[in-house]
Amino acid sequence: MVAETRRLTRREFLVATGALAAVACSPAAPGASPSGTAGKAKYGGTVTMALENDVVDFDPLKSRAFVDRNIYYQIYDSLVRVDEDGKIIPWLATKWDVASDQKSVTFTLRDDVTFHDGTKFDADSVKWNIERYIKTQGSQRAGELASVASVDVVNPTTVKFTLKSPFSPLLANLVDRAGMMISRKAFEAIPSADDFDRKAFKAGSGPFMLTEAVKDDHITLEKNPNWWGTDGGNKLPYLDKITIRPITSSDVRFTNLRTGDAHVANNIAGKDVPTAKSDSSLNYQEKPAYSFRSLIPNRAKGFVFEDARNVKAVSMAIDRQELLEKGYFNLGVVGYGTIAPKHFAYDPSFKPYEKADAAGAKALIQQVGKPLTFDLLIASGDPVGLQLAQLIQAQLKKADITMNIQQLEFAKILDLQSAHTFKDMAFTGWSGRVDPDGNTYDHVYTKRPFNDSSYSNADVDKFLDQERATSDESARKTAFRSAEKIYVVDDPARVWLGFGAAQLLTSKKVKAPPVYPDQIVRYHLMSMAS
Amino acid sequence: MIWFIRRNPRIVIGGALVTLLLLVALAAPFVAPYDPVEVDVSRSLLPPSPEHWLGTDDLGRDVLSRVIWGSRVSLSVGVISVSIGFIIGVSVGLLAGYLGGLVDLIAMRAIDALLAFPALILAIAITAALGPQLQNAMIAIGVVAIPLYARLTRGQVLSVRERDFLTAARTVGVPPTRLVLRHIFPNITNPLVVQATLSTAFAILAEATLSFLGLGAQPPTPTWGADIFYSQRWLTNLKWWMSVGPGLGIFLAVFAFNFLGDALRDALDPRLRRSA
Amino acid sequence: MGGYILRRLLLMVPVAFLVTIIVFALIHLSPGDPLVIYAGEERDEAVIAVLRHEYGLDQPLPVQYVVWLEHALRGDLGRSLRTHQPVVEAVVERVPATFELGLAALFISVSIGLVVGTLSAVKRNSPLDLLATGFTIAGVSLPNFFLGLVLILVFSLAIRLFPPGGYAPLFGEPVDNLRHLVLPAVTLATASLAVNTRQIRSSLLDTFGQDYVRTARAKGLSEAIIVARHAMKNALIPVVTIIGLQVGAIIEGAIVTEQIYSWPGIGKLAVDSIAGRDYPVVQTIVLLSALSYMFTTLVVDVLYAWLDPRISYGRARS
Repeated sequence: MVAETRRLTRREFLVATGALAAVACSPAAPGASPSGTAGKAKYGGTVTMALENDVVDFDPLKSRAFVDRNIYYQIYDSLVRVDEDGKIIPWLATKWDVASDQKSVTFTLRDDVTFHDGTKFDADSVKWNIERYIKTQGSQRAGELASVASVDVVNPTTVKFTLKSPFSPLLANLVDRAGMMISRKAFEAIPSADDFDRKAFKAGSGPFMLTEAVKDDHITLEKNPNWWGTDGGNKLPYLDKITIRPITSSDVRFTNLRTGDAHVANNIAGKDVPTAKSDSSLNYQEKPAYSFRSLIPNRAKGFVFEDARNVKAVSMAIDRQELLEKGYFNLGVVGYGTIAPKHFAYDPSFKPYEKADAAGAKALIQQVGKPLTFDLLIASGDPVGLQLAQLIQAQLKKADITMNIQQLEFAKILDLQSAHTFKDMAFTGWSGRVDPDGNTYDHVYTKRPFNDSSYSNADVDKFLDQERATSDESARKTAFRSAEKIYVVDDPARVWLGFGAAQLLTSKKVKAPPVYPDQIVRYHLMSMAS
Repeated sequence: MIWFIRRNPRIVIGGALVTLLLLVALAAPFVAPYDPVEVDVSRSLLPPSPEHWLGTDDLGRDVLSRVIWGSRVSLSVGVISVSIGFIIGVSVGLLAGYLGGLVDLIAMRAIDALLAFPALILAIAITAALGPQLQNAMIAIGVVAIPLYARLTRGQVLSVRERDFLTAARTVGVPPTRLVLRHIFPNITNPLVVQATLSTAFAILAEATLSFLGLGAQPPTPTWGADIFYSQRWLTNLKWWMSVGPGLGIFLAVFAFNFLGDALRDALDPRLRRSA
Repeated sequence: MGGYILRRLLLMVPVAFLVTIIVFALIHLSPGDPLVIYAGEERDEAVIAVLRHEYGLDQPLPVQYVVWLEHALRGDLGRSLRTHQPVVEAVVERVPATFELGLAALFISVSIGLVVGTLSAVKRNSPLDLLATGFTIAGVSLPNFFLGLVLILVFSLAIRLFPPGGYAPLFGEPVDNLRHLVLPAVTLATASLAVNTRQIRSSLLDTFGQDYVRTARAKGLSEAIIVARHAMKNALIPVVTIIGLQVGAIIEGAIVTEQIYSWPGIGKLAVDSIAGRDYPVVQTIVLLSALSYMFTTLVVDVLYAWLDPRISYGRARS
């Protein structure tokens, strides 16, 4: 059910929020590749990717969609990146030093980087980009960079970020869009920012250049012959060209791979996974992701879920195992909260709703004293979400809970969610972050942006503040687990259903890089099979 | 009776098909072997068998039962939206044709404006504007049908208005309402009956299309168009029965009304036969 | 003739005016504030108020209408709420794909319609004729989204002859483009094919009954010559009308067909925009489809009048 999760993550911002990693600064790695795909790889070739949607914005400043990042990682370089395990690695910045008072970070930059339009990348570029992200009205990046007080050029290869207060997730934020660099010349060559957003040709410095973008038809990325990255001595990238075709239907994407009309996809339906695995012309890779699936109750005053017992009753009545098997077709795992099995703070013994408990749910509702009837909002035009919702509907019926399904446009649901005015409950997911803080803080801390359930619990806030204030792993673990017990069981903020999986489906004609938990394809490591 | 059958075999066949559909829709609770909305995943995705003639869907619901219950939605949309179009359209047509002058001019320009839109696009736009709900789909399909009835009625009224019997009736002081109801209306019923039958076929098809696009009845209500949309993702896994059941439902219903309408046109309206 | 065209054009003006009112009213009928979406999720009531003023949405509706119309006449239909692309550009970009699909469908439905319709008229009441008649009613009764799915099931999934959807640019990858075109074009053509076949058959039958054909027969001309030289020419007059009206059917059919096959044309844009509540785009597509439909009707009427001098120029379109 990745399709649904992806659809529901349009508002997400960054791939990794690693508070820890920001402190544990790693030494500058020479090459681009963290994994050893080296050897005698073949150069040349064109691959076609079937992507789940068309890119919405080409300007990282405006981007709110997951799909955008699939392209960005190919055309833009950011200051730092993550490896397969979510560890922060050098990228445009070869090293970084965090001051002892944690109120500034100094980056040392690569000296051999030019943008696709020929201009040189240097400390001035960093200053200009970061200031643009912070100062432009309507910037989607402003929040991620809110802690930055100023950016100063020390010399052409050294840049210093001064912070308003210590903010450990900063480095993790610079992995993704907030750390992506575009060419000032390319940006200023187009008078209207709206037009740049659609025609950001040759504006990055990444392994591929954006050369063509026909809305809802195709996007062409061509090899950047001057890219700085290498892979065990091989100059990167290997491929000449990537054609990206937006195909919204998961079935059509999958069939395109089976017929050989496309070579890469990173999102196919759970029901098709067995076929994908058995098809001899295809290669299927899967890895646990950090993404979670959840039902969001509106816990604000006057709504039926203001009473925590009603939320808990729903959570108790749901059979998560059946949902995973019959709804998600075993893609992903059962889960109860925000901390995924791959997170360091994950507690395998935390199984509060392991068996569906209709009787317990009934008893709880009896305590409330009023039969539970509510609406569930789901995105329209999504048969997968519809199936899951109807399955949940049937499960709740066993506990005498009446759930009505309301289909609404996805954008409208998001609006209602952020306005906290949606009726009863909404079905949305989260694509996941490498650090549990990114999966948790903004979702359950009082008044944070993704706290759509209007949840507020002083103890949860206290534990999450503790988790942010320290870099000691075991202390953070304890704080996370204490908080999770409250927002999942004692005073539930949401009904969590499970965690998703990252997928990479490729034709045997290409030599695929490993799949990353952030679900984005590393094309700079891909080559044609010899 | 036998004479009628021999004379009009197509009307009889079409009529029988339509009657059968109506009966199935009315008797759905008794004819359908299972509850159309009951979820039981232990029997999901079963292929057609003696227990489930059209198999089951991914929630274990019996496809045949959903197709049978779906006929209720389709036929009620057909009947209600055609009534909307018929009542408003015929009234406008009668008024415009009978009164003439400025009323006629304004009414007919408005009708022209409605006709300027491809029918389905107008229906989609209206439903999208009003919000995706079954009753909005009915209203939209009804509105789209108005111009057809209005034009037809007006044309017929104009052609009978100056006939001797009407002139005579008017001279002896028959009041206009009575004139319209007793003298004009009966003269135009035949083409209207043909039109109503054919536009029921259109309405069923339009409703199916709207619900296929997610603009019709909401789940878990069984409707043919929405069920096809819901099932199509299973085609890649060759679970064809989920889509084929509701598809055949739409096809049979639309075919029955088209067939009957066609036959009625030939029988009742010889003037139209040539271009049929 | 020139006078007739002029008169028809003048008659179109009030209708086009009403059409714009309907389109404008439709969008403003719908509940919900488009600006709330436009402002994004980090919206601010004060910012929205400024925007509302900027977009003139705080004006009374008639004023808004006049402003909208004035901009529309200048070719400015605003920007898409989803993509911020100028609406006109977004729509124009999609025209070629829809145009290609529509032309292909028209070609299929007219050419096959001509052949089958003629055969069935000449061999009236033969098994072939009955079969063709049965198929035509079936053809108009088959919803194109169902037909599309069946074709995908058979031709893409079972025998893997054609791709199940997607698009390749006509200029650049012509062969690939044609492979992608076949299934959607056939799907779109089917309903029109049924109507065309029927129309050709009945208008041929009609002309067969006319005096001059009977004279030709009496002269001993072969049936083939009669059909080709005499009957066909006259029978084509109503056929032109029908083909013209097919444009409307094809615009309608494209909505669903493009959706099923992920064909990047106007129809898919319309469905995506409805789902995303992208009002400026929906508005423009509805408006353009109405105007192009009106225009083709006009062209058809003019052609009709030109082909058949017996028809008085005063004839209203039926």
